Amino acid sequence: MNVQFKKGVLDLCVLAMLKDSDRYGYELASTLSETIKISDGTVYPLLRKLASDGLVASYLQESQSGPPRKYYSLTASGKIRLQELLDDWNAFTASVNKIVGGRNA
Amino acid sequence: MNKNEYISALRSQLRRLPSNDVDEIVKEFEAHFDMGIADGKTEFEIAQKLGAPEEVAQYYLSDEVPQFEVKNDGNGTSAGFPIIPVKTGWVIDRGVGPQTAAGFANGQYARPVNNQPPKPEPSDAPNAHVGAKAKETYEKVGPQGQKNIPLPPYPEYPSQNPGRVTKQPKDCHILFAWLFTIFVFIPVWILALALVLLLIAAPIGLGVLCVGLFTWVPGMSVGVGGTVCLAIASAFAAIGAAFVAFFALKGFVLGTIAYIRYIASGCKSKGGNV
Repeated sequence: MNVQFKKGVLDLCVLAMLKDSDRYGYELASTLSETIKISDGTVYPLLRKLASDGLVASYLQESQSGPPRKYYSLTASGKIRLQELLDDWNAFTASVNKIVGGRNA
Repeated sequence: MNKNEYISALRSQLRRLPSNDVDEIVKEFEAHFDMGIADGKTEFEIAQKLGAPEEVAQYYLSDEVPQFEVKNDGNGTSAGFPIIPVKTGWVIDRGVGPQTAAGFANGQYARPVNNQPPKPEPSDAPNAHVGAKAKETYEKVGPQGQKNIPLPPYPEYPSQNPGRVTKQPKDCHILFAWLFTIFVFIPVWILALALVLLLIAAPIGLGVLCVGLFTWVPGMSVGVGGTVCLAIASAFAAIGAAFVAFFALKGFVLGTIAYIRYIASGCKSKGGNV
């Protein structure tokens, strides 16, 4: 997998997790590292980059326990980007599966 | 690495960024620790899962993309520690979890060109206590039960491995020390003693000499000459006495004892503070 592709996939994962509900960093990091081998710590710089690209926004919300949590949400352009990445991903996996004979082919 | 160590390491790695950015980032990591602790995890576990602060900071400082692997649940190699993303060279343990043999086997870790284990880095020495723990885990627990995979040797830090450190070179050779004692130290000591004796003898001799001299000078009375001579002789005697007191007592006696102790101990003791 080349770096550009990987970058897209990680972005896709994070954006997809934010599709249905806003989440805070810890939640994103621990959910992501359950299925993907990635250090929790690298999720935060990724979120920061997505935020500076305007794909996600963050806000603080009080929590019942402890200090306020920093939640991340998809912006309008984040939603568009998510759809693009999703289309790319589906097209990519579909064509590769056609060749390698995957179940989804 | 506990929370405070992690946070301060991260903060120092990020020092190139504007301080309000650093504060913001650090706040997020502090929150991460707090939530992990609330989840019942230890600070060490959380730090381990976060990955090395150096690596994390890299992503803030550059446009680099975190590397990741998709976990493969089928063959049991997937349950490893979160992998610290690598750019070049080895992932040297900095207290953020052992490298797994599974990881080595399927090439998750970058290997050096010559395929040798990583060299200890002097900068890792302060983390030796963490390294020791990680090494223990690495060797005992093994990489998640993958014991059939041969482990590359764990990198050693010199500070942790006294067995490999060669004997400290002595700055004093015992034979040379004795030769020095016999041929230099003792002659100098005798010479110095002679000088002191001379300083004591000189006023007496000088006194006798100048009493004779002044009584011989025509027109000078014995009384005046004697007084002048006594004054000069007394001055010399006083200087001599001062030298004797100072050098003989403090310098020679203490110095000699210290020196002998130094030689006798095989050049181990510092010699001083008798």
